Amino acid sequence: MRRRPRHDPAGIFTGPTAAIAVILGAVALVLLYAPIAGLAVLSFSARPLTGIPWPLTLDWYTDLFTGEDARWIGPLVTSIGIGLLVSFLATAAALAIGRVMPLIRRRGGLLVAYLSVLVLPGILVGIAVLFFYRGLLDFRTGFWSVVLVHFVWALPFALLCILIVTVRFDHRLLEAATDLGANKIRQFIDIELPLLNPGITASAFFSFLLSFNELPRTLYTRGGITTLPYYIWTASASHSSAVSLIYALSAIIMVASFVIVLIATRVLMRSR
Amino acid sequence: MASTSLDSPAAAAAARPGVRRRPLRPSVDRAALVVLTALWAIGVLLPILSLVVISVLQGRGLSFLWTVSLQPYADILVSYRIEPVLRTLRIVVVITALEFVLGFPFALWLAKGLREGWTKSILIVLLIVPFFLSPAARTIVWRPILGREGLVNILLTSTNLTAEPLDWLLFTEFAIHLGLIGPYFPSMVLPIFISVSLIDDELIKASRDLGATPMQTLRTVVLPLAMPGIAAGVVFTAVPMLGDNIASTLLGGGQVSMIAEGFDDLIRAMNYPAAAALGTTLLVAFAFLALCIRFVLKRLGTGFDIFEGMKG
Repeated sequence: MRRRPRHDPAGIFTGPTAAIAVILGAVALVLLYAPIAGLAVLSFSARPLTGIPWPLTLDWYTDLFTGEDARWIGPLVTSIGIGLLVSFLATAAALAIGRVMPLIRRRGGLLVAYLSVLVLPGILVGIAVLFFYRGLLDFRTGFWSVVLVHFVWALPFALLCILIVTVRFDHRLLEAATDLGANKIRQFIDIELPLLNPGITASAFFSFLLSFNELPRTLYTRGGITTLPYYIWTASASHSSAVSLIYALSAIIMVASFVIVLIATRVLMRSR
Repeated sequence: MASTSLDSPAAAAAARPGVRRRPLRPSVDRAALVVLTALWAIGVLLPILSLVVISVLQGRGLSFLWTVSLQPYADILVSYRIEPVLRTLRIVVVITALEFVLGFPFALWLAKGLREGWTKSILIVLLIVPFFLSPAARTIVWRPILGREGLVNILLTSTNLTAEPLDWLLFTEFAIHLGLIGPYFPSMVLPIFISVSLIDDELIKASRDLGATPMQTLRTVVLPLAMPGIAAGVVFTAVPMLGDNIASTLLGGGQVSMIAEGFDDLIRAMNYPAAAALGTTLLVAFAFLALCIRFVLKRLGTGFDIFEGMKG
């Protein structure tokens, strides 16, 4: 097998150049994680809107669950429902596409067709769906259009998760199973599913999270639906006292999302 | 098709060791692929491309009249000031360049300067996690930190570093730049990291053994082989940023608007064809960038087979 990679195979990194690379990366990572940490800290602050973390309080967390301020529960249920549906649809579609794709010759164009939407600005996808379905075809936007745009957002990621396991799938296993008399369904359940499982699990988790936290695509396609990110968006853009609650709510969601991503990446990396 | 599946495929494969057969899967699987791809093309790609058509129509509410006019483009060029478009392009170019400067050495170090282990795994996870966190939640926090009565100004004034609170921290281009650098860093680093990781260490060692300095190795071996990753990094960073509405809305505060808020204005003004025209300009920008990169990669003679990459 391959030898364990040496510390610095190229000699590209002498002490100082490695230090420069690390410092540059650290600057960006701090800019990336400082607001995330700041959000967590300020959610315990009595005056979060001043940006001062003290004095500490748990008021925002308790307020979240009482009376008027508990209005986020409806949007939460909506978002979880849409997330689960999108997770199922995207993973199922990605599985159907991903298990055949490595076998076909002209797959480059196909891959581009599925992955190109990944880079399109979210707001553009939302507007395209609104204009095409609502404007040209005269369908009412609502639950289905939110599911559609979330599906479009999740599918490329789901497909990548599935492809990571399907490109390494050895199809001789299925040929052997055929020779031994297993039918197609048995082959799928007994051979393909267990071997592709890490990719499927990761895809399900990631698709759910992408849908659950999605905002720009939802803005113009939501019809009358209020998802949790949309609720947070309108509440945080307003200048009401509700903004303080948003920090606590966002902190909870962020911690939960973080945990789910850790689980999913672990599942996916284990498969290697 | 039927005749090949009657052969014993395993025996055939065994008879020709080393030859990787492409087993012909039953047609149900292929039918599923064809149906799904057709649905994807009609239900998703067609609506996106239809923006180009809508952008030359005339709108009456959300229904469109089938008369061709270039009025929408005139609308976005003249009445909808061109300023936000130019500002967006400037910001996107600056941030993408900045991400490259911050990200390329880091990605190189992560791929080839760091031993496999916990540190590496943690750094990679730290780069993946942000894709799945709510972008609005982590941008909104900059407001209390940068605001006129915010944390930075309180610290600055209480330590007498400045007499007056700084008011250029928030609702300025500075704030938008600051808010964009973090979220778009992983989109630049990850593709470069993957493509550099795929470079065989032996190639780099050979270059060194033949007497190349680290700089020469970097320029003549690593950089050309990492080109597809760099190209992907630029596309993944620049294109979504063109339509980013979160940083500009929350940190520009209506005073520094970008293209994304142009959509909002135009839709609120019920000028849907002009919104479609704005969308078409973004699509054209994307297509132009993709073609440029394809051209550059062709000249370099490198391609990027994502399938080979995943076999790792």
